[in-house]
Amino acid sequence: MSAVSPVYLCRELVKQRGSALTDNRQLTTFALHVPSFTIRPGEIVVLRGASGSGKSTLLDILALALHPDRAAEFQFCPEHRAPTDVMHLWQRHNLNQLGRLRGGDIGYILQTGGLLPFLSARDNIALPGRLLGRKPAGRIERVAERLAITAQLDKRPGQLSVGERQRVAIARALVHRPSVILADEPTASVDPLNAAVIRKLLLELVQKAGLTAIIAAHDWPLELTAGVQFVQHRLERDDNLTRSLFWN
Amino acid sequence: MHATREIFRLAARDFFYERRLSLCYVLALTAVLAPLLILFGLKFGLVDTLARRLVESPVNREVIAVGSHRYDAAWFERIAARSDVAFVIPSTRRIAASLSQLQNPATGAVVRAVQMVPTGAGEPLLHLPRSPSSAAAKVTGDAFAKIPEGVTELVLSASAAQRLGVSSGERVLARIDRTAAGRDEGVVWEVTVTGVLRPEVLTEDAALVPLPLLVATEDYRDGVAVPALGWAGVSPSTAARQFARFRLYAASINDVARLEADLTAEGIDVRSQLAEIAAMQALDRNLTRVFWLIAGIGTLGFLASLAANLLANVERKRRELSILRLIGFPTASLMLFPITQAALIALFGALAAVLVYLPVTVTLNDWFYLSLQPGESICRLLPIHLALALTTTLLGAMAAAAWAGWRAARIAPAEGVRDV
Repeated sequence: MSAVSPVYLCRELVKQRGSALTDNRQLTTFALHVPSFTIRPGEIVVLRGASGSGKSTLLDILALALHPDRAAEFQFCPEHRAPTDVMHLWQRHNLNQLGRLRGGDIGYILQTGGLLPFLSARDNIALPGRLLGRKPAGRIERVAERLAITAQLDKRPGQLSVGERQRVAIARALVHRPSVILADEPTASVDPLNAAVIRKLLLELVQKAGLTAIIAAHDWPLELTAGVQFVQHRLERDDNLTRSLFWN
Repeated sequence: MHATREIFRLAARDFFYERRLSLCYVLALTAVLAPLLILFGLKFGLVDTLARRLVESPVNREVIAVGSHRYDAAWFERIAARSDVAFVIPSTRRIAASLSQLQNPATGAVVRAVQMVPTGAGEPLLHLPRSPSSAAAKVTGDAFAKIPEGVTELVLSASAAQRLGVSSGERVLARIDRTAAGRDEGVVWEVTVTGVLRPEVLTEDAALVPLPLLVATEDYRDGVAVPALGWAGVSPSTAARQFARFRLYAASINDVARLEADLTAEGIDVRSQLAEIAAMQALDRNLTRVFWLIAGIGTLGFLASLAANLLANVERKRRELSILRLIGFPTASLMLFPITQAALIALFGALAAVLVYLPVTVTLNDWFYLSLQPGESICRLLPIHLALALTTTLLGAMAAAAWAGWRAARIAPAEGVRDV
């Protein structure tokens, strides 16, 4: 059952954002709308769209880090696990269960790394695994070698370049062996040369591990399409409201 | 379990990583806590010392009989058995309770009309710690002089000893006079000075004498023979002796009022330092209130400062807390992050405050050394007080941080990850 279940299954998922009016009411100016969205195990999916189109918002929702306003269906089913009704957990404000799912099954690469400044690169990478009580047993070094950051393992984030921090963030997302990798503009902060290297490495590592990945990128190169699916996207404008639709 | 252990480790790592900022928080805490410790030290040192002196001073505990009465042995036994009585001894008629003269045989120095005060075991005036004024003036006087016994020993007041030029262990000649059958008579006998009172205990020319000596002089003046001293007279009465007066000290100043009321109810006119005691107690009470008021305001300020610092720290840590939340740390363990840091701030702050307090208290006690009696301090905190201060600081800090941590831990992780 779990082998064929989609990792993500969303229907009519909506997240609205607004601007404050003078009388403390909110005027909805942006709405993320996901009519239908299904991701199967092992799929690598790219969300493309301009800045402000809601890619990060959708990733946060898929990372179980942001409460959607409503959803007809929002199911998360990591490999070898029973499906979870995410909307139900949000409605019950069950942050701990959402945290457990996030910590165990999702590796999230943030746009600027999101590393803890007081830990070394090695400790940052090891942290999700330590939380789960797992011993890395050489995995950190192997992944670090693959990402060419072995020499940086004992440095703190403040001593690393932006590109190195992104590689550390990728390593942190991978080392505890999650089922799903979410990457939010993982190359937006680095130069084009580094960006290409990081994209390539990320894809290689994900594919080699057979993981599911959802990558938000406004500048994903068109030539890099092997084994990658693209999510449909459209922007609709109606007076003050911008509606951003993602579906597949 | 993993999350809890990890969060302790992370909080400590962050605390030491941001050592300069942590030091600022610790110093801010020390700046508020150290004066509080000194204030409480003054409360337990100065105010309590003054209160204890007030309570322990025998002058404030004495109940003095006004006029003469007839008190038998049963009356004295009954009074002595009361738990609110520290010392009671019979005394003779006032007119008979004086020595006509004391003379230093070596120098010829004479003191006339020396008042005799009966004394015995438990004498309150002989067991006083040295007073600040006498210590400062380096005056002589025995804090624990031997209680005189028999009919040939006495303890002199400081003024009498000074005028006679004698000290403890020396001998003087005592003389009493009487008029018998129209003739003036007198007897002289040798007595040993077993001690000298300090000046503030008895200001007049006086001597503490054993009851048998007082009785002997009264008998002599009444024309009764005193075989022990070889004084001739009529044979002593075989009837049980009754005394005209007494010396009475309450166990504490709080017992004076009841004792005075009971004696008055028996028809005995007495006077005491009740009004002065009430005034001193009111002063002590108000002084204590002032201390607690200042300490209370200081404590509130301390807790407010602590809470503000910790809240600011948690707000500053929202990014890190969001990352931890994103990685999957549960709410309870996230709350432990600021709580652990608050505990570290409180621990180091309290230790630094104690390090400030200790030299200050030594200095204060040095400054007031001459005003202090043995065992007294101007500024003093017991180990239990310091432990209590540390516990209160830790609990206050952790409570403030828990509230802040709870707020931070409830935020959705996405709220904090966009700017990291």
